[in-house]
Amino acid sequence: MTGEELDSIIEEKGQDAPALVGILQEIQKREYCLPFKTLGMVSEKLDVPMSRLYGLATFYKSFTLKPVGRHTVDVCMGTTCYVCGGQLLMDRLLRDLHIPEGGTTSDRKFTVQPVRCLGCCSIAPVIRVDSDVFGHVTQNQIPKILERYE
Amino acid sequence: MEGVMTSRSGVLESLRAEGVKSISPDCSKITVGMATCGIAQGARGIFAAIEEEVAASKLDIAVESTACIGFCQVEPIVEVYLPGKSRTLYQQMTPDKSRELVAATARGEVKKEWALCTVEGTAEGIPAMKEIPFYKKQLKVVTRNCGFISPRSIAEYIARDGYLALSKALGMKSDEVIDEMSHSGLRGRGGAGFPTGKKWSFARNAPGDQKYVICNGDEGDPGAYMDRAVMEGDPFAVLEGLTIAAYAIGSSQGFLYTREEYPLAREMMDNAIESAKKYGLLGKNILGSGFDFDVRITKGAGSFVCGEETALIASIEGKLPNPLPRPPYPAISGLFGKPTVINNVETLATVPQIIRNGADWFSSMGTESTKGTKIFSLVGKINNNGLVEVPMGISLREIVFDIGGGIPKGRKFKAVQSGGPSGGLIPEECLDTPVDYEHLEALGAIMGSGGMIVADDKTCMVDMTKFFFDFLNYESCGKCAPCREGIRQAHDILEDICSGEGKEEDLETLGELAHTVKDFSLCALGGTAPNSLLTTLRYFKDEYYAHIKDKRCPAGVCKKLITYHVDPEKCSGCRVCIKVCPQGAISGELKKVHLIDQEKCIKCGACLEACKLDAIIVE
Repeated sequence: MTGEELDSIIEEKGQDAPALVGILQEIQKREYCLPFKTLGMVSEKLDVPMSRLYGLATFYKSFTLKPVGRHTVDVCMGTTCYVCGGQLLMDRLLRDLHIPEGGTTSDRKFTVQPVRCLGCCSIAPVIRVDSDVFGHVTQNQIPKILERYE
Repeated sequence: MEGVMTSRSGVLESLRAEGVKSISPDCSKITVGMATCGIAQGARGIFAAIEEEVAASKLDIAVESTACIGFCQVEPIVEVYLPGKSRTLYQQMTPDKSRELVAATARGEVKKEWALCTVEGTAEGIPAMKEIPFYKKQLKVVTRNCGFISPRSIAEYIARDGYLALSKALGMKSDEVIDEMSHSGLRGRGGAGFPTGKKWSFARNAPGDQKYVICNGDEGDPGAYMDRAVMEGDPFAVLEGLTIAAYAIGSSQGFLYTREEYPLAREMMDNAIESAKKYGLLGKNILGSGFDFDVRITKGAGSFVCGEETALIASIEGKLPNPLPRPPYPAISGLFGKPTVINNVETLATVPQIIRNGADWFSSMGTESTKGTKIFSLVGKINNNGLVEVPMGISLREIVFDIGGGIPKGRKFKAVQSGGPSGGLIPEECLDTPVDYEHLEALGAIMGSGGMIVADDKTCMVDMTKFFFDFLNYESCGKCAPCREGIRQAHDILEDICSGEGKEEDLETLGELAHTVKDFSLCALGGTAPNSLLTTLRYFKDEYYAHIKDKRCPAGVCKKLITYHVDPEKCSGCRVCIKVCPQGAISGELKKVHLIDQEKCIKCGACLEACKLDAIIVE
């Protein structure tokens, strides 16, 4: 990310403290992670210590320091999804894609991670690929769901 | 003053007329429920099919979208309004059925066979909403608009008496508004149940010229989604409540904290803020009263502890969201050290109705200690999944069996989990308990934000408790030792028990750990964390013993204690399980009983899921 790009994000989100997490979210969205170089620029431009940015980047679940894949598969691990078999879906995805939880496939196509409740408990178990929510998912449907993504 | 009143009523009146027209136009109208869960069930395809059909046949039918009407089990839901006749809900729609429905609507007919109920008027052979079991015992107060109006339309909100409360409140003294809230008996719906009026009066009386109000939309409790549904379905009610709170305590700046996981809720709130500004219901000199108030949305990035108010404040300040010791309470020293009121979404959405209908109206509902209604998300192993709003004091049994319709597939009820990861598991024998803060606490559970997850005999209580401890272990911010270390320790012991490596003395250790974490943690996360453990030890000790002594998981969940078999009586030899088994662990010829190789089986459940004859046994 160039300095100009970052400037435009800061201009849109604001310079004050309540804007900080929003700025990091925008960087994560564009770069698929929070690169140290970009965090360094944020630190300089907003006069926020690097230690604080590192703290935020590692505290919140939606931030990563390593780049995620082109598609993110969120497996809901809320209580209802867990009771209705969410763990079996997670196991199946990891087995089919040969990655550990939170891992990214070698072709950078998919990252699979648990998410703590998408609020779709009535159609549990649920997975979300990018912004598409799938409900009442069975593990034997998983290959078909993944096929939809390039 | 007269001028103020005129400009107030002027804006509201013209919008009201517009809203009435769009809710009940002269032509027929088809509305699709398009909240997050409706969309996941295919509502977008249905909406597209209806629009296409209406356009292709050049029909005079309005097509709209709304949010969640609560009965998620029968989504996608479509509503058809036939002017002068009826307004009918249709369940489990598909694009094909929707096209036929368009044709019927054009002829002014209802489709009796797909109908769920009527919500207005009558139609032969279709029950009214109040007559069907799911809605019969419900009382829609906070959710009165959800699924009934377009959440993007400020006019439709106003047509259903929206902004009358703000208009009324601005004509009252701020102390009078607070008195009304106190008198109503409303308690915070986020979990702690603190009296709302009292919270407001602390902040009102705290010294300081700058004060803040925050709407806590960080609904992190897994299993609860009423705040999402209210933000998606009636965003103006939340905003109106927040504006009234600001007026009452003397604040000019509000924040709305939403979750990263709820993009649609945020979109609706964004839209509500823009619309309210456009019509002078937010911003400078609201409704000509001289009162200024603005709202800014901030978004969390995935953290359970941010629902705790001091952590939430730190998050907005761009700091690490670690909870702080209280006192000082946020009402005295909150955001940027200023007096701050934090209220939950459901609480704020209740506020306008209390102001509009009066405290006495509100306090006439509910029990002695807990007034009004509460929305619960009734989910898990239950026939009628959905959001239910009930008067406080209703029994758990009525919720689970009368509204929820009991347990699917003829299975047996085991427990209902109330209050999210911080809540407890309540067994069958306690189901006649009336629901309010005190009664649930006496059972060892809490109301929390209103998640009610039903477990059947195929749900393992030890495994479920382990799940909560896994969750809380991950979400604990790590600041204080009792929470950080105690939860981890308890989790490891539970893991041992689930793996068949538990010892009898573990139960005593778990009990001790639970009390240490409960009594000595800094914030409510740790303070309530052991509830699931304490309640399962209290009500389901047998299940712990089965795992520890017999090395058996009675529910058939804990992988290390179960095996998969084929029931020779039921197996027809169809080879379906052989095809789905990822391990090649199942063998057998067509039309002959199959066999599972225990050495190869990884207990993934693929065969169990695929077998249509229930011929796979787990024990």
